[in-house]
Amino acid sequence: MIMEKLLKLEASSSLSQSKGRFVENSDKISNLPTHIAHHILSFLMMEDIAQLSIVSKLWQALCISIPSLTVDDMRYRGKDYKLIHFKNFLDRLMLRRNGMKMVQFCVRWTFLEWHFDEYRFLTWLHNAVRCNVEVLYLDLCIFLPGALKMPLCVLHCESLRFLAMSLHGGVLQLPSSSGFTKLQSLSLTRVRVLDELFVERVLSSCNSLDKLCLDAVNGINDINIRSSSLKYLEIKSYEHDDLFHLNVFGELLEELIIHWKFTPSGGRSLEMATPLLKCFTWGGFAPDNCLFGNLNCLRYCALSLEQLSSSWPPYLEFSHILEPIEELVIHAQCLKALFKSDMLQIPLKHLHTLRLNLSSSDSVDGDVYKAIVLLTKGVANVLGLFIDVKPSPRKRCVRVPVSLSSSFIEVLNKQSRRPK
Amino acid sequence: MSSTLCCSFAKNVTLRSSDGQTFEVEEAAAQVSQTIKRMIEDGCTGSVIPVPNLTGPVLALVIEYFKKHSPPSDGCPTALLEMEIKDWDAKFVAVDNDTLLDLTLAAHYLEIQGLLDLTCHRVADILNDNSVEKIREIFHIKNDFTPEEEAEERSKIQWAFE
Repeated sequence: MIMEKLLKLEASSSLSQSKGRFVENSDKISNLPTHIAHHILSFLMMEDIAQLSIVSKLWQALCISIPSLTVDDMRYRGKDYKLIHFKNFLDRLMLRRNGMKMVQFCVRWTFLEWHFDEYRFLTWLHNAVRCNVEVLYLDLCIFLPGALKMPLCVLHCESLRFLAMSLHGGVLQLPSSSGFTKLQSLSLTRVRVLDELFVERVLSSCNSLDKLCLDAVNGINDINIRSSSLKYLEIKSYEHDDLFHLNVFGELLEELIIHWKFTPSGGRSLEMATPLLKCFTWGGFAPDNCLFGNLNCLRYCALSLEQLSSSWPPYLEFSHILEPIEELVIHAQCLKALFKSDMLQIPLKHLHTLRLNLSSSDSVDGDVYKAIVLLTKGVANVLGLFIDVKPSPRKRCVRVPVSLSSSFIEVLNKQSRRPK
Repeated sequence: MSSTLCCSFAKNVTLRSSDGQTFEVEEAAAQVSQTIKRMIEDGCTGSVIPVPNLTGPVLALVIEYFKKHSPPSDGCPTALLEMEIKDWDAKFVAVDNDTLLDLTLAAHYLEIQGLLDLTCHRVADILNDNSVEKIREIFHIKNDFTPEEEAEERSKIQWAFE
């Protein structure tokens, strides 16, 4: 059986022998298995690959069939003559591939004149789809008034599993009739959309989507996530964004990350219905209206909320969601706010790891110690206490039985007294 | 993990190269190779493990790599250790091209992703540092373009030359 395996290995490696006809026996590099030659090419920039393509016919074929293609105009910005020839080269390369399998296509490009280049770019996308692309990274800077109109072929692409787009504030439009079909992971960064129902439309047709990241997706007042497939969701929204209402309904959702900042004008709300949620990371500002729903499965919670006032309305409900958690990561500022509002009275029976982050706050006062004692009062087991401090990149760790709370505070004091 | 739990005597395995040379190496270290790891899991430890794709000198080099990259017995690797290993890696692949390509194939046969990345990156660096003519020369690649074909292809990639 073992020998069989080895023979198989040998056999697979001799596949490359057929290519050896082109070359001398001593030409070891041309006799490498194709996927290893491609792995070597994956470390090279496009211009190096272009140069290699004239070394021999075999290397030309290898360069054309490279499964992971990255095109980047960075080196040619402002060099019009070179840029034109580079673009022509890419056009030819895409044509010569003629449907050869492409695993990943990555485009980093600045389009100064979108009306001039749009057709070319869409042709690249068409070709990538024809090559059964699985992973698509688009980092595009499209100068106004250009907008990226996602072609239908990408949305209907059967092979596409992963799509990440960063448009630097540019506009993204989808054909009105449909959304992505087979996508598993979608990530949008700094994208402006014109359609209030953009997210709903994307989700309604993506039945296999399990990961969604929306980072500064601008132009939507209400984000309604309704998905029966999503397991991971990340929403980041910043002060200049338009988001007012964030509703997350995910029956299978296991991990949720919200980082939401807004200019302090009321009326913001967060509503969640995520019965299977295990990990919740919440930072930024807390909206006045929060409905957390059933969070019985929650085991991990990381809180870095800023500017929590002691009169924050949803405190009571919030402290209840902390009850079942096993691991809590909390910023000192947030901990103090919870302490001041008397919301730490609920015993956290299952807590086994507490990570206190002091990196953004320099005031470690009595309230922090009292809050920790209060938090850990009901803890039955040995507690791992981790303290992250600003001046030192190294994390300090102490493990103490919580029943010895006086010595526990002593250890904590020693930790924080170290010179900054 | 389980192998580091046991006694102070580390278990060894014996590997035999294509030309019949045998090498003894700690089991934990040899498991850097996924192929060997599977063989050990299949209960191949008692006998000698044949490595028919590798000659003695190449296998000896691979074993050096195993030893450097075997998981540390005392917990997680430190930043300092990682840096030291990185330096060692860079020196390890500073070999002649023939040996470098042998190591690349060895990493492929034995499924050692770290070594495969290391050697492929090194080959890529060599390709990057040299002209087309020089690449043909150092890797003994025969140019099978006719002069006309080459001139035509070259004209299409003029942008890629400085």
